[in-house]
This record gives sequence, structure tokens and C-alpha cells, in this order.
Amino acid sequence: MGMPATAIEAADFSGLHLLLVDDNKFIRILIREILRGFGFLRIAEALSVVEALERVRQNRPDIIICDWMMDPEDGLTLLRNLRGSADPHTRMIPFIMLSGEVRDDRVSMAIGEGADSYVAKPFTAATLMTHLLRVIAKQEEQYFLD
Amino acid sequence: MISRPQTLRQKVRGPNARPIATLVTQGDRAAGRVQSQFGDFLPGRLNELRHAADSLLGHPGDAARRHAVVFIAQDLRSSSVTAGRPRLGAILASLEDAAGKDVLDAEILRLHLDVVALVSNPGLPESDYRRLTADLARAVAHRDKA
Repeated sequence: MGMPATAIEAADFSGLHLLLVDDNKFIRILIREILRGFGFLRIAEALSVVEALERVRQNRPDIIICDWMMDPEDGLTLLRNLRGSADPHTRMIPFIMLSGEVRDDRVSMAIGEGADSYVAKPFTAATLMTHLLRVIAKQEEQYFLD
Repeated sequence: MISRPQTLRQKVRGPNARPIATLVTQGDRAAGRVQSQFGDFLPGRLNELRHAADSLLGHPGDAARRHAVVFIAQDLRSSSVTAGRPRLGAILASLEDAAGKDVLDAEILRLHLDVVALVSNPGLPESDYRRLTADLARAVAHRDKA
């Protein structure tokens, strides 16, 4: 089986399970509604790292979107937990880091820790879509390399 | 025979797939609806900021209280900008700097809180906003020089 390299021009997101992690209610609702607009039907939400890890165990999401800045534990802590997991699926879940910080060192740190994409706030629906398509394509590249 | 799980790209294919541009338009519409509700979230978060700042002003050397103010200000800044309220975001960025300084200047922090309260009104005329930000910048520059 070869590795398709074509861009995704159409999509049906209803079969994907997405986990959204953010302790900011407004941003959580905003992203959830944008995702529903995209056609996502299975969106789980978590307000903390502990809750997110529980949702990962329960629901085995296909993609995680997580805000960096959360209290008491931040998005980087969640990312490190996932990438250090003994479970291969959990270790490989595509992870989109969301942050109000746009400094290069922050982006590099997130990518270095295993984030698949980095969305700087403020963002638009188009930006979010671009990052979703990016991690979907990246996951496929990884899949065919294994 | 053991079959490999589907890739994410395979999961988003299918007869119900819709053009990405259409999905983005739907996402944009959803974002617009949520952004118009930002005013419902704002008062509660501003109260939290005011409460945290009052607590810091009572204990100016307390690192945890300082962290709380900076955390809420950052969170509110990114929400504001994402909700299409860049003026409020700009004042909150300045407040973050003021609260994060090694030596807290109580008057400067109070001044920021007052300006945040005024700028949180989306109907504030642009001329008033410019005057307020100019006054604030002058006060900060004066204190920095001192």
C-alpha cells in the first residue's frame, strides 16, 4: 500500500473522536461549536490534565486539542504524560497545542515534546481546519512509515 | 488475518464528505455566534481578576498571588482577542507586565484595573480608548523612569 500525498479537499468528520482540553469556558465553547460546524459529532471535553487523562483512557480519542495554559497542570504536562505512556495508541494520538503565546521558543518546546501542531490565539475556523488537516496528513505519514 | 486500524484520512473519507471550504464557512458562522456571547462570560472573569488583584495588593510579595493575577490576565487576554476584542486584549497584556514585575507598583496595577473595567465596555468610543491608553502608557513610563 503506497502513501497517498494528495491534499484533503473534502471530509466527513462525523466518525472522528476528538478530545478538547481547556479550562477556559469561553474558548472551550468556541472551539466546540466550530468543530460542530465542521461536522464533528463526537467531542469529549476536559477541564484539567487529570480529567483529560481519564477521558483518554475511556474514549481513546483520535485527536486532542489542548490549551497550554491551564492551572494547576498545563497542556505540556498532558503532552508529556501521553508521549510517555506505555500504551502505543495513547503515545501516538495527534496532539494540537493551543496557546496565547507565539514566541518561537514556546512553539519549539511544544513541538520538541511531541505536539503535532501549534495553534496561536487568536485563531479562526480556517486556522483550526488547517491544523486539523495537517495532523491528519501527518498521522498518515507516520502510519505508513511504521 | 489481523487488519491494521484505519488512518484518520481514511476515516474522514466517504460519501458524506463535504468540501473543506463549506465546512470552514459553517465553522465561521458558529464562531460568530459564540463570539457574540462573549459579553456573557466577561463580567465573571473580570470579577475573578479584580478579586485576585485585591488579594495581591494586600500581599504584594506573594508569588502565588502574583501568579494568579498574571494567569487570569493572560487567560482573559487570549479570550478577548479571540472574541474580537483586541482593545481589551491590549490593556490586559499591559496589566500582565505590570503584575509580573519584580517589585509590584500598586498604583499602576490599580490604574490598569480601572482601565480594563472601562475598556470592557465594547461601546467605549475610540477617542476615549485612545485617551485612556495614552494616559496609562504615560503613567507606566513615568514609573519605569522613576
